Amino acid sequence: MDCFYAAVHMRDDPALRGRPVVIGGRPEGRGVIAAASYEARAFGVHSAMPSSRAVRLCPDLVFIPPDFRRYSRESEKIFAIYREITPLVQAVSIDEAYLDVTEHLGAWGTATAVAKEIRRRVRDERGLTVSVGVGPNRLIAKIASDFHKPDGLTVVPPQKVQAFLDPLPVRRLHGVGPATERALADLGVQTVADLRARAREALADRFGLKLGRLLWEFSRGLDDRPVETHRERKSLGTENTYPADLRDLAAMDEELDRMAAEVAAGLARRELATCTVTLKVRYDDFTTLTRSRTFTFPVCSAGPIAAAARDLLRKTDAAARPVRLLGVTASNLLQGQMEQLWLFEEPAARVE
Amino acid sequence: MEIRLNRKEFLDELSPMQGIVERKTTIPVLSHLLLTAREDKLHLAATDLDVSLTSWCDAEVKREGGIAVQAKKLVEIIRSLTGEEVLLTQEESRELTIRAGRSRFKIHGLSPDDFPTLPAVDDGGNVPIPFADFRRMIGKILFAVSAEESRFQLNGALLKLKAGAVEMVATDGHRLALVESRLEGGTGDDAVLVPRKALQELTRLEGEGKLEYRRGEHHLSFRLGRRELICRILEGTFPDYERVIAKDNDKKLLFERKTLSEAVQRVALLTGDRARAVRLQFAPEQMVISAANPDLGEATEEVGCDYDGPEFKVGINPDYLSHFLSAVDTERIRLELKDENTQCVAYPFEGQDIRYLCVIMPMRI
Repeated sequence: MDCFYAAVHMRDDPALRGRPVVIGGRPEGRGVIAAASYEARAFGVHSAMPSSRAVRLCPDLVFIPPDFRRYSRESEKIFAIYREITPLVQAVSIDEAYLDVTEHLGAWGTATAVAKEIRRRVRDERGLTVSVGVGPNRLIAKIASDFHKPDGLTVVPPQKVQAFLDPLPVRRLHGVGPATERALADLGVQTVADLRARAREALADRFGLKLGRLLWEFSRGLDDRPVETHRERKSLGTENTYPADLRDLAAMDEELDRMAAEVAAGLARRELATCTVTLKVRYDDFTTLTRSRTFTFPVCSAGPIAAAARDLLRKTDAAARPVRLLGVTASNLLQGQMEQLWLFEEPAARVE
Repeated sequence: MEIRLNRKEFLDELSPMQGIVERKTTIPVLSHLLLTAREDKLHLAATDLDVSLTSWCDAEVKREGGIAVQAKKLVEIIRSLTGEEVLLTQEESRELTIRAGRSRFKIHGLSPDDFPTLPAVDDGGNVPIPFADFRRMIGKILFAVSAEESRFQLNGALLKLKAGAVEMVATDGHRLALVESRLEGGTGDDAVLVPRKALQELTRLEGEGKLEYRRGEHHLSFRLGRRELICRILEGTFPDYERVIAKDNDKKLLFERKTLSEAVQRVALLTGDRARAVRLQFAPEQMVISAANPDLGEATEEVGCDYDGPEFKVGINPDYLSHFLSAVDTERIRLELKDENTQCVAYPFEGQDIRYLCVIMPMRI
């Protein structure tokens, strides 16, 4: 989807159209931008940017508080369209999916025609634009979908894969993050063509067997990862980096409560429960640690998750050292919302 | 040391020591037993620093002395030997020679000075408690003691001595067990938290007669015949439990204990390790227990019961129910419930205790 959160608001409120719109906390607070419209991006505003900075870049910025339930409902309706086209739909995020249409071309006949049909239906039925990439595998389809945004369609047939990839910066390849990009740049590798010139052994030596092999294959457009329709979720969590370090336990507790509520909402959406709560803390010097608690019983509501996170916070130096990042993750997930109830008060209330 | 003693008697005193000794300890001496030959006795002691057990057996002492020896090996050796008598001799201070029949073992030990000094509980007032009753009571609540280390004040049971009665309460925050029994000739007015391990080891003490209970400043002493168990008092505040024993549960059901217990355990086979939840659906004269697990499948079983209220259902951890059903000693049991979010209370039907009950919080499913 193109600028999904912002697009939903702009569709429903014509007054927002053509204006620089962001979804996120008000600049007066410690808010961070969750999504930005193309009009806002023109000012250099992007997601994960502190709201205070964004408003300096674009004083006319329209701030809209996020409404995740609304996005979630919209996403479900769009995914339903995808599933009418093929059962092989892999959700990557709330607004991103892989569709395997190899065996489901139907009356459309070609993948390109299927892509056009998806774009037409999402536009007609949901009033939103979606960018689609068509390729012989996930690697190519993903890069192609980002190629012409917004409202784009990019088709890369098998015989054109190499020509399509060669001039691209390596960063476009799945698995190449900032660190790998830097390491490749040190070797003089900038584009996919540069990468393809490297011997498989040399890549394996430098990046290890797994990543080395992946780089070698991806530079040739080779990718055999299947479209996974029901990949089992191992964990569910959220974290936040703060523009100004947190120094106060009470403020951190408040953040943990908020994140616990978010994790609990995520569990509810997916009908899951959890047995393990993990707290992540990064201090101002970037040392990062995690602390976990595993229950012998399942929980799924915010209270016990928050209580565990708060307890765990007290096993760190958070009271004495400035904290730049906090995170709360639920793992050891169980299917079905279930929770062992407490005999005395709920644990969240127990923490002062 | 140089002594001669009866092998069977020695083994009888060694056995209850095993539970006290730490199996995995970073302090080597805590995996040892202290043996001290003095006058006409061999004294034995074991400790994990929180719970200690001492005892003695008669011995023909030719030379006094002491040594700490590895508990597990010593028990294995004494158990494997044949013959009525065992000879223990110390030719060197850190070695113990064990002879019986044609066998001879020479095992390394540690100096008795390395063994921790056991706490003494001053001879205050002795409260005699019939041991058989006391042990039976522990069995009725021990399962509810919390094993979660983060909730240390729940890692034991509350022991209340009342005039003419003893009460014990344990909870892990999700369920609670309480038993109150008449205590013949009992006096006193005392409430103390007894750690889980002490309770566990108390149930392993064999013997008839009265358990002598004494309370010191930081320790408790339980003496049964020649054996004395000393434990550190668990510090902390026990929660206000009377208030969670629901009094207004209007849905009352009567079950055959054995039938219910077996059905719960069968259906629980199809619950996951962590997703321990069964659904209880109540209708007049019948309850259906069911479990569904996305990986395994599902199970249901109908159990007859005496009930004439409205239909309703509740989710519950089958282990919580099973633990009570195994501990209760009556043929029939009663469940009292209100709804799927508040506590279920299980009682024996026509039991001998003044009070016995188990409060179980449901599981939201």
